[in-house]
Amino acid sequence: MTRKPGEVVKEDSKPITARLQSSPRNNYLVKFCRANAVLGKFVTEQSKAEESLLLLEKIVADAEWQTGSQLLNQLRNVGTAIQAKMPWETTPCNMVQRVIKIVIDEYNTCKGASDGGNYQSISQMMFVDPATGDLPKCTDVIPELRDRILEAMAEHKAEVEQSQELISLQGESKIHNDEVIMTCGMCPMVLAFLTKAARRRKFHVIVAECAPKYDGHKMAKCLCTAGIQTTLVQDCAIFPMMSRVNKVIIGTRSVLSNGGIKTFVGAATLASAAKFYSVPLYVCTPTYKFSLVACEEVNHYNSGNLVVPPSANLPPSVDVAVAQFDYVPPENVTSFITNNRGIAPAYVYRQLSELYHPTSYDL
Amino acid sequence: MGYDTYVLPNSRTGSAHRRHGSACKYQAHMRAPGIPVNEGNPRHKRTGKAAKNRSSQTENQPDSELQCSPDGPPVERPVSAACLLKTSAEKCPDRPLKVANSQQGSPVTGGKGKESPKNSAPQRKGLNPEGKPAKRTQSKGSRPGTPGRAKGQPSSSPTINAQVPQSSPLAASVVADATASTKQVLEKSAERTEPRQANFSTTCPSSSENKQGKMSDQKLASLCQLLENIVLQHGGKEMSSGGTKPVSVPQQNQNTATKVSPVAKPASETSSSKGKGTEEHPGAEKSREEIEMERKARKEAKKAGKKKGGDQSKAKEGEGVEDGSGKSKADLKRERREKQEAQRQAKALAKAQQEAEKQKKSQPQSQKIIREEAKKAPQTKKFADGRRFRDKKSVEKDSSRRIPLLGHLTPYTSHPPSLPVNSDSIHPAIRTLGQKMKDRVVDGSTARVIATLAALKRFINDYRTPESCDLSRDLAEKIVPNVAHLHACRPLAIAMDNAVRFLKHKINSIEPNVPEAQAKDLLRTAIDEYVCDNINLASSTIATHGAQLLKDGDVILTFGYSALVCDMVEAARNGSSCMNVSVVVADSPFPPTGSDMVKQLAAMGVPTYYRLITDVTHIMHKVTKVVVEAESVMMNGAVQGMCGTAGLALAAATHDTPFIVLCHTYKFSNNDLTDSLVVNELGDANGIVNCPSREYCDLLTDWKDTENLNVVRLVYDVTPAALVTVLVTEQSVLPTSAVPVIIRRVFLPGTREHESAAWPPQVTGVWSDLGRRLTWHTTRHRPRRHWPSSTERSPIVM
Repeated sequence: MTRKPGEVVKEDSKPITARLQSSPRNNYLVKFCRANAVLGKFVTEQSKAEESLLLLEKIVADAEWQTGSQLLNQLRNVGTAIQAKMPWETTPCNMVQRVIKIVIDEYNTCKGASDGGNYQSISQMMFVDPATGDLPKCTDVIPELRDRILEAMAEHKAEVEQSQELISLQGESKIHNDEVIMTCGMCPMVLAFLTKAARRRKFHVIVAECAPKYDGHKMAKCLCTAGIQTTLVQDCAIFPMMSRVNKVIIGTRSVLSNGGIKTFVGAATLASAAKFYSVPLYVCTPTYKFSLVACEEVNHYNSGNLVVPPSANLPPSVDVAVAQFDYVPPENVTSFITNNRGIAPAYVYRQLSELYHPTSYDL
Repeated sequence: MGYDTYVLPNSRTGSAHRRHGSACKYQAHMRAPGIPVNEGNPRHKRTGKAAKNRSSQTENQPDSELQCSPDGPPVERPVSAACLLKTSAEKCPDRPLKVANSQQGSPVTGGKGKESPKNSAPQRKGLNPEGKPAKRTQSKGSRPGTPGRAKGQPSSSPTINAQVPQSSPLAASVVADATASTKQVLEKSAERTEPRQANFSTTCPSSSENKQGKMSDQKLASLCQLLENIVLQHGGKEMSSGGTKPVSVPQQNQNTATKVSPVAKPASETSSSKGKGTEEHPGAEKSREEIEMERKARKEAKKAGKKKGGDQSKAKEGEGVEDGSGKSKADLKRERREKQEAQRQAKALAKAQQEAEKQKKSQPQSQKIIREEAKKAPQTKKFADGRRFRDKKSVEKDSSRRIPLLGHLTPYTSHPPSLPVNSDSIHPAIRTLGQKMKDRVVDGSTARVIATLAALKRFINDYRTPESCDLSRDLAEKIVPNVAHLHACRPLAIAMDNAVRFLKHKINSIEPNVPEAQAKDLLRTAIDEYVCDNINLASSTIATHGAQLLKDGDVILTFGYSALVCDMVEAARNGSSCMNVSVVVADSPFPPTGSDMVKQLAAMGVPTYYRLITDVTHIMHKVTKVVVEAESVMMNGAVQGMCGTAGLALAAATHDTPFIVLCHTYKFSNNDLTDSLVVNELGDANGIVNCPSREYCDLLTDWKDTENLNVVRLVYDVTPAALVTVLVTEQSVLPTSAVPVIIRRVFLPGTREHESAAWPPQVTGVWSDLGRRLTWHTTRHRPRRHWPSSTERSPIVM
């Protein structure tokens, strides 16, 4: 199924995949994610990631599994369920895939330690065929595996929690004095980034209001409260204002495997305007947003009620709709600001291979 | 076509003027409604629902634009200055002042408090041709104008009738003073002053209004300052007076309280009904009384000091508010022995104090309020004059709020520009139009041009040449402040600038020996021809040209409301080819003009899509052509359009979709722009702040008072020439590089024959597949920088 990037397909109700096991734990996770994430309780990806990790920790700690393979299968089922239920949510999937990687790594470490070398893990890395999609066989029963996995997951969780701070620390190195920064919509990462940078630098931020969510208003409020000179503009004024802008800094919902980003509606226009004026576009993103999803990701429609002006009674024959996400192609992105370092879109694939195990690319 | 309504031969103008003499310049425009006005061709209106109602009215009665029918469209009426004269608008909404009444009758002039004294000026001079008393004309102005309007009654034009009752010159001056205030400021100040007004109405004694009539505002202000200082003193003492204070203090308090309270009721009544003028007045009067009272209180305090011992117990009794009456009776006895006059006063005090007690029981907070008032006093200057003062201040703050990067642009202000009082330099039609442009009733460059020319035509109609002057020289001078007023209401669009320049050119070219009537006829004909040729005929030609670029099954993307694009779609559907065209309307959330466009297209039966401007990338792959209307085209080929057009052009360029711009050639500009910020206009940002989102709609309502925050609404943007595929004008279909040639033709008509026929490329045939032919024009990621050489250009020339 190949679609043009950014093409919008009307959402159809997919049947839940048959792979979804009837394990109560799995159902619990699925229900939890759907109820909370869809209904918007978790507004930020950070909270989604943290909650997902919390639940995965419970699964690892409480579920009945003896060998690594059993655990991997359970995790995989959870991932499949989430993907089936919420195809637009990438962060919980990312977390599942990350934990799968952790499990495999820990298993191999334990195994290598007991076997007296790291040989097996390397051979697994080398000879596993991602196309088959089979998870590596971790059939040995290793008693300390559970604890080690939990320990590694705790580390990972700490990394997720610190990511915002780590990103904001790079603000000073990215922004110089008297710059004009443009951003669009509300993103806590960008807010933290700019606020931190404003302690040492004096700059001016232009915020686009980001219809139809209009969360740019909130962003503008937060920024001016933080003492940053802020100007709120309409989305249609992005292009005219861009000629004065030095940098565009936006957040994203997820980073796709090709280096593009899937983010709020309006980002594509913003990015192409930045490209037109050769303004660098930075994307503040922690590593947990790096997703294995390719750019053919199907977009979804939101209800047109968000768009119709309140006083206008449009005739029913008029087709009104608004997409949920925008896709920004990698050529319009200059660089990603992650918790570790800045990486170019072309380097995302390498980051992905570090984060996730090749066999888990396809859940 | 709606353009045909603009045929305006005029007959009765000259004689009507002469009858009234030269001093009464603008009476003539009140003549019978046969005058073809048609300002704002309805087809070109880029307006909301209200404006549409209005335009439908206009077609039937071309004159109704300038008259004020109460059943007209719900034009947002700014709070008139006269409304301030009431203590609060809510208190007596059905009992407005006469000024307010006359202004409410006219939705257009309602916001301009300044108009009233101005307009009343000629009538006060006795120039009202029928000699009717002002009140009668006012009542006429407020009645439904259209059906019942008697022909040939000069005074029935309500724009002139807005008039201050001459019996209250103070009110008139107040109205004049309040002109600089904005709508918001007025509302704000009304809110702010309301509690204090109420407060004063309880504390100020009422007095005769006649004395106060001549009092100047400054004097009032100073007096009121004095009064408030006194109130402050008393309040302060009251606050500091504990139970152990000497007798003098409670006595003094009693005096003030007793003096103040008896008149409270009448004062509040009069002030609520009579408004500001009367309120200022008691304030001043009271200050005198207060001074006297204070002196007396000092005397009494001295006496009390002598009789310390005896009065100590009484003073303790008197500290409580309830015991105060008994204590003052004791004082009375003592005073009677000494002086008879003091006795009389003390009796009054006693009575008053009883009332004060009652009042204190009913309003236990009144003292508190006075104290708060006293605290506020140093900051808030004076309440009578202070309102004006604060208005000025906030206006200054508004205008001084310079936006970073955009400091060169005139900040948007919601209040009408200040006008010189009692000056007739600005024609009522211009004033009306200015207000309409400010309120965006007349919006869109084409509508604004038509309306401006119609208003200027009326101005020319009513113009009388002074005996010592040439018509051309004098008229050219007199037209300047009118245009400047329009500019002050809303910065002129480039098209308007061109139209005005054209008119000035016509005026200047009138020979001195041409008689006035003939010269005016010349000018009127020139205006009519200009509108007919450059706008009406040109629009239909552009629509035909544009329709030739379409083919069956095309999906057109357009932005906002555009009459030209509507015409083009209509021409494509109704033409010989009967093409099936569907239209995607991209719209910006504010102002949502696209919804009007969608409605109009859906009514025509065109398959229509409505999308946000941010969301166009998702539908771009379906779109085969992007068609927009330009506000102006620059000499370097850059296209000035409504803000958002450039974003659309960029989306079109990235999707290899032809970007077609429709533009009248009279809108071409000799300027060259490379970005959108150098020449632009700032719109009303409050519309952005009140966004449709429920969550954030009131988050930034106080953005003007928020530090570090600006909200900017740009009205125009400039699309670089590289993003424009083709330009459709009534002369031909052109590449953007051909704009200078058109400009030469339009602005220097004499040079036409010197142009070579080969350039610019004249496109004659139908372009069946514009997108394929011109794909090279919009290379995907590398916009074309230069116009290609002549060999490369050949594919365009067919």
